[in-house]
Amino acid sequence: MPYPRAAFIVGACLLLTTFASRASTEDLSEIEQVAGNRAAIAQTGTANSATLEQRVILGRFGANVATLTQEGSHNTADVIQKGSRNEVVLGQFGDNNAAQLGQYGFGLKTDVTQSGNGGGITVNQFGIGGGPVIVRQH
Amino acid sequence: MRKVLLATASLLALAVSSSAFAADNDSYVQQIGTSDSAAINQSASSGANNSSDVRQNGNSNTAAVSQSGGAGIANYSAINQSDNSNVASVTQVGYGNDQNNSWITQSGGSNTASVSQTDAVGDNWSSITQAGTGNIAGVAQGNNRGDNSSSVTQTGNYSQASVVQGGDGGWSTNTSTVIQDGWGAAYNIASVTQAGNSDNASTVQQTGNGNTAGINQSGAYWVNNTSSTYQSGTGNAISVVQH
Repeated sequence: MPYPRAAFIVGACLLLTTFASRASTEDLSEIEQVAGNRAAIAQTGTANSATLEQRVILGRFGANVATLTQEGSHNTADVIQKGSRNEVVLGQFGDNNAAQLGQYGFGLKTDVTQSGNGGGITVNQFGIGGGPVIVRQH
Repeated sequence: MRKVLLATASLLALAVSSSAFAADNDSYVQQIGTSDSAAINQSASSGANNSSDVRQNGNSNTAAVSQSGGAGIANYSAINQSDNSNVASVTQVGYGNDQNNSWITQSGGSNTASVSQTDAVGDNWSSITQAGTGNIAGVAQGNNRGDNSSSVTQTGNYSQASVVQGGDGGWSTNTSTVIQDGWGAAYNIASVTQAGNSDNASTVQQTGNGNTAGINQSGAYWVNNTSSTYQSGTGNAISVVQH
């Protein structure tokens, strides 16, 4: 039973590493949550960094919702979310910005917009129901 | 016989009224000069209030306020210090359905303000405002039931703000606001730690360069953690942990 097992593993542990440019108009509206974590980070200027870690015990109600906005050059963002429902909306506007996003669990959504030159984004999703991953780079 | 009855009733009414309106503690201290110190220790019986107002003008002054009492009391402390290198500390303890309230205002550099508020049931409220360079503000609020609320505003560079709210097993709602407004090379530091079984909310706003903000929110699985952080400048760093 190598193929079903492999399919189950792939389904249960979905790994997406995205460096490509994709465009979508899908709206990731805020999640109505019973309980959970909600973070909004905004930085303007040069060479700023943001790290965010959100955890909700798997199987519990609640969601991790993060909104990060960085305006300027050489900014970095590092986000880790673990839980049943995870959502990241990241906007980086300026040159040479970099972001790393890691999501673990179910109901994973990522929306990244990078504008400027030389932006880099890495998205890793581990879980079921990975995506949508939306990356806009221009 | 009628006179005896009237006298007895009057004495009874007097006894009831004196216990229902326990005496409040009120203190006002004003000091102008250098290296002055003021220590206020107030303890109120149940149903009474503690109130302290300290105003110091000059360098290297120290004000220490300690307030406590029985159930149903309210503690009020206000400290206003101007000039440099002043120290203000407030300790408020409530054992019942009490209210702790603290205001600290410091203008000048190298000032230190610390507030410690604990309560079994009631609310804790603290406000610290500092203007100048190299100021330090520390707030610790613990509560089993009730709300913790803290506001720290620092204007200037090289300042530090630390806020710790809640604790293991507490059922308080924690709310914290830290505003650090620097000029150029600000290098301000803000640290917020919130824990408990009710909701946590944090707002941090920093302007200037080289600022650091660290927010840690934790609680039971039904808890809402909300963090809003804004930085403007160069070389700023934010770290948020929610779980």
